[in-house]
Amino acid sequence: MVRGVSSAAHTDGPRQSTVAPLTAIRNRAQKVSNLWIFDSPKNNRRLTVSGDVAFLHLVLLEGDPNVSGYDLIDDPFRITSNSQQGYVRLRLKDGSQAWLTLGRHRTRDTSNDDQACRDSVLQAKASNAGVALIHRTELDLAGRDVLIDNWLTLCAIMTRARSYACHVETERFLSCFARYDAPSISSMLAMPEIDPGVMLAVVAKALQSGRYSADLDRQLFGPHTHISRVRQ
Amino acid sequence: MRPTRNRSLIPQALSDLRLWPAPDEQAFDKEKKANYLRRKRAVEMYADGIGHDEITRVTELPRQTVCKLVHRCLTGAEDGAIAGFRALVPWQRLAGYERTKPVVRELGDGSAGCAGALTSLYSRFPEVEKAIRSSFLGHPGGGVPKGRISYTALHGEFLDALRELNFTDRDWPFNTKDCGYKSLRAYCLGLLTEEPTVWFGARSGQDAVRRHGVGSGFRSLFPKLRGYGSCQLDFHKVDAASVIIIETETGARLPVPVSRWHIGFLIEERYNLVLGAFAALERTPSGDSVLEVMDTALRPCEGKGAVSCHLTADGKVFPLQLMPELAFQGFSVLKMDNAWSNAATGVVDNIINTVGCAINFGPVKAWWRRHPIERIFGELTQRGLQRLPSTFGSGPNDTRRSNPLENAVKFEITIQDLLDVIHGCIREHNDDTNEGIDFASPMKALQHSLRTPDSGVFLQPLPRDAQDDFRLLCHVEVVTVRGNRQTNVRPHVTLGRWKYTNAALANSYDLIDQQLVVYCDLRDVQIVHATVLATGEQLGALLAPAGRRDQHLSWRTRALINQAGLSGRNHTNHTSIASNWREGKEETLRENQKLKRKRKRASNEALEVAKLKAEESRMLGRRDTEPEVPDAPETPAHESAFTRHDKRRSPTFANPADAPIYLGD
Repeated sequence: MVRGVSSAAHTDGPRQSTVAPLTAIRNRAQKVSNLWIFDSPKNNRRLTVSGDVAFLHLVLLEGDPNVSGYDLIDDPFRITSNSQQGYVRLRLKDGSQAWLTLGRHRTRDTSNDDQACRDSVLQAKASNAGVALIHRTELDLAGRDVLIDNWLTLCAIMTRARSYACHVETERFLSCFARYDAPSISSMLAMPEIDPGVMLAVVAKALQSGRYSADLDRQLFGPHTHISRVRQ
Repeated sequence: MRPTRNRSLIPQALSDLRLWPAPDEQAFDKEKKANYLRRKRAVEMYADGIGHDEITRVTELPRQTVCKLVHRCLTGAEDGAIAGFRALVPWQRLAGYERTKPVVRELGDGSAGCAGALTSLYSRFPEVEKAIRSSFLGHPGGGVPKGRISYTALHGEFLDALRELNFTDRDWPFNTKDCGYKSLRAYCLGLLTEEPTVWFGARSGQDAVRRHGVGSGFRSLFPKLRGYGSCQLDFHKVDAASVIIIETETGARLPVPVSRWHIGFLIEERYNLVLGAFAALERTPSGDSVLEVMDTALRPCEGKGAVSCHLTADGKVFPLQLMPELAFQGFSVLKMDNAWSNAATGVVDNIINTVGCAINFGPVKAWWRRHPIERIFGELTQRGLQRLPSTFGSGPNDTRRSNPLENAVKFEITIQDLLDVIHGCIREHNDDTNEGIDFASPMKALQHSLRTPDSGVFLQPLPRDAQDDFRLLCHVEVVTVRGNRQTNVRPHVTLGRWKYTNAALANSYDLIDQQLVVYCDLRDVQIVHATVLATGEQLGALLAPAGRRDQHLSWRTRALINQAGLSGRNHTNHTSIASNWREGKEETLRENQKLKRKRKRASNEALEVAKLKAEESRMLGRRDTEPEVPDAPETPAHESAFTRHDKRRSPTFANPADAPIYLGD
């Protein structure tokens, strides 16, 4: 029954399988382990994925302004295995698409013919569809610790405030930029009549949209962070 | 100008000698270093295109030696790169030793002079190597797997196999003192490098295999950059026996041992700060207990319902009590194990919807994934519970363990006593200096981080509406409105076998057969709110049946009572179901205590009684704490779900937007 409620709250996106946590854990018998369950603010739906590498790449997609959304195709647990069934379909801002496979970096010891075969099948499938196939591993996460941490925080801030009205805070947020070029978060939180939890969510949403930016690559997001408008 | 010579030995791709791997020269002694530098100089001069005569004059190395050294440098190394200057270290082997000469020994000689004899034997008789490897690693070809074979037994098999191949006493290994035992043992230990997981599985067990991922030399994908970013939740079975006190008919106190119960902790991962704890008086923690743990860490609670400990100076235990600004503080990641209580859909839904965090159910049996919480459990147990006379120790063979149940009865160690010890230890842990965080205490570290802007720790509270309408401890269910227009059975919903309605619902005949989303407080089934699923209209608070208005039960207790089939019977008594149920169990316990053989046994029923008592006292505390609020006028039927927000915010806008903006839109 609860599942019915949560499904109803997340029916905006394209139809995908919603897996109950217990079902997902029972699937461990089929070698599924290390599950991540989270609400994707970009897709406005709950996702269940297997593996740290996949999860962290999805978190980075949340903060990528060139990606307007993404879908887990076929089996969400397989997006890490480079199988021909499982991949992430990226919907890019310019209207095009790209396919993304995620997995651990393969060394000479760990690679095998079966995986190579599946890779080539998926590559052929992507070529036929006229989209680029991108493969990302944990090596692509190296040196992006701060960015990952920031987007984990921002996603949580957006998720916890998603059901609450934010027009007061949006208005205050916009009014900040009438007075300052790059106001800090602390100055925004000090404004009267705002709800700090919702104001942080408005900032996070603005950063996610790509219209506003902050130094999220090198600095941990916090009250000292300065937000600036991106010049188009 | 120096003439450029063709140095064909060095490929163009490797012509930059600065990129060649090199050893640490400072680690060599004087003689070894001089030798190495002379060789290195020769190779560098060769690469620079200097003539061989000049190289020989400077380094005293003949042309053939220089070419040999260059060849050695370009040999592939184990790490996949070329050997580089590492190949020039004196006495450095680039490949394993391969014996070519036969081993000639006198009977009874030691093992000296037999280098490479075993490898040589294996190259001549590969079936022997295969058999030894199979026996040692437990992979018999199609046969029944053997237990862990000892080195002595393996050596015996090895010698038997060689005898079958007509080896005599003049052949190696029979012509040595230990008959090749040392070589065989070294070979077996060497297999660890080849197949580490198989080796550990065969020789050290599955726990050791799982540990293989720990300390692998790779950085974690999840660096702990920010305090209050990641939290861990887990349950621990208390390590000491406890009793509940039941009064007998004559008014005497009767201590009854209870079964071991669990306590759940929520800790902050960066500073190892214990944020909240809850005693789940259950043999197996339920989903409600998981939410209760979260609740203690998020929601401030004062008065009778608050956690307090008389072992601390101010009675406060958790950071939230010491720093009220941490009320409803959110975080981004929650790590839990795969217990079914944690993975219950209601638990995951409520936590994500309230806190907004991502939830991780870590790899199976990978305790190191959540090692801080496991370590804290160990610390707190050592500091507190294992010092009590009723401790169970760390296992049945622990010498600290001495009749825990008898001692619990003798000293009347109650559940509250254990909780006081645990709470005292939590406070002590949070205030104690910790080497892992530069000798600051977890509390001090958090306070310092909150004052330091660059630390990434900042107050990120839940939205105020979420705080006011805190639905973490809410059971959410979609139910169908029942009723009958023909016989005029007014619209109502059934939840946990109880019929709920209110004036708004009872007058809405059009809602019959429609679906409502019902929110029921897990702690008190009297608190129920409903919303029409299709339209989002709020119907306000629903009322329980008239005969059950005073029965403040938790959702779980009511379910248990319903399961036991007691609901109907108790309903006729016109008293509290929970009280009846508890009294029945207490009566059983009193009877059991009369039997000598049952007197010192831990009882599950005692644990259930303790849980019911805890619920009752918490409910009383809550009612005493909450101010008397006059009954609010009922929400008009079919009021928009969004009206509340508009009401709160309407004075702030000169020109309100046509419709509220939602982040989810």
